Amino acid sequence: VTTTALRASEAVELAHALIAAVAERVEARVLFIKGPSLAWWGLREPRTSADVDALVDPERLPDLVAALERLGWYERTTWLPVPAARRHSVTLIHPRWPCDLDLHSFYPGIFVDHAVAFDVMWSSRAQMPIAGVEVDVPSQAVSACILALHALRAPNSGRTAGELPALVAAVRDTFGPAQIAALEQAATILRCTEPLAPFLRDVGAEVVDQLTDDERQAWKLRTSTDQTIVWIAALREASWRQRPRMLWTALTFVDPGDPARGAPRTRARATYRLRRLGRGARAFARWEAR
Amino acid sequence: VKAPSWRRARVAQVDSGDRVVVLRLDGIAAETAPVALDGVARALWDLLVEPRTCDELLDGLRAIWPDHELSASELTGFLDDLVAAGVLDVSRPSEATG
Repeated sequence: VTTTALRASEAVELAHALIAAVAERVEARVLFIKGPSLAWWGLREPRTSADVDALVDPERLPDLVAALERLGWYERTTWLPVPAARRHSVTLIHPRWPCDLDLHSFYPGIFVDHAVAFDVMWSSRAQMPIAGVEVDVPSQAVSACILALHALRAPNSGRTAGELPALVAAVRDTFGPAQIAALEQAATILRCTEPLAPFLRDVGAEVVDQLTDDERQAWKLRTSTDQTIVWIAALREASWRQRPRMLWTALTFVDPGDPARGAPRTRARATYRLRRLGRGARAFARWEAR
Repeated sequence: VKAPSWRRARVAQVDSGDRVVVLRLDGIAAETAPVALDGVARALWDLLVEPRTCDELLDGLRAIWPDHELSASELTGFLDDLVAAGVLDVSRPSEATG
């Protein structure tokens, strides 16, 4: 009997079963999104994911996170500030598991109330076999909406650049009129037709205007690829009491993918970040004026 | 007298071709870890798709590898390890119902 290192593909499949079993124990409803479910629905070619994404009943997310923390999982830190109201996911990591767990309480771009969104998706769920067990996944229509939102949130990013054309091709090839109607219905109920407009138009589905000006602005912020803009927006939303601490974090936080990581001293790193925030403030003014 | 028999517990498992990786799903605890099985261990795991006694497992293994040298005591030691890992259940004769 050996407990050798897990391969990424093994970890992702087993983690689906792990989350489902823990969620069952704490009585939390969970829907697995993206990852293997997309290939299962025929929306994407099979590929090994680096993480497991799950949408969790918003009311039960803290209980599920706590239960996984008791098993040795802990939250991954990030440089980006996210106000609690806009925080859509918790990323958990474990030293023995070569995959992250991304647990979402809602999905960005879906503007219906978070609890309502989850109930809508839960009501049309399906069961997907994985790692010898069955787990709950959203319907094909909802899964397509989520993948399209994922691609449209960072349309110019290298990671997602080819996602949307591939999804459009898959939908055009395999969806009949009933499935296109289901797509329109799901997008309308979830209030995500406007963020999905480029996708819906490309597959011949109807697009209706649903969002308020504030919601459109929020989606614009979500789709910004400049991380500094996110910091400036968060600083502007924060109270005066919160700002000094946030600013300190913005200037000193080190994460593995940051260009300032190599700076030998905190001061050099802070100078780099300060200049970047200055550039960010100017970019933010331009971004708001768009 | 009925011999003890072993059966798979409620587990998740992934077959990677060269090995199968198994994770217990009941009573998951901080120390719970996936268990990787290859070679003879994997063949035994495949045989345990149905409840088996030690003799049945040795016979089954002999059908796959006629010249295997696994002794009954080595086999029970291995099965006890799987029971300790929580991926296998054992029914001792006193627990047997039929």
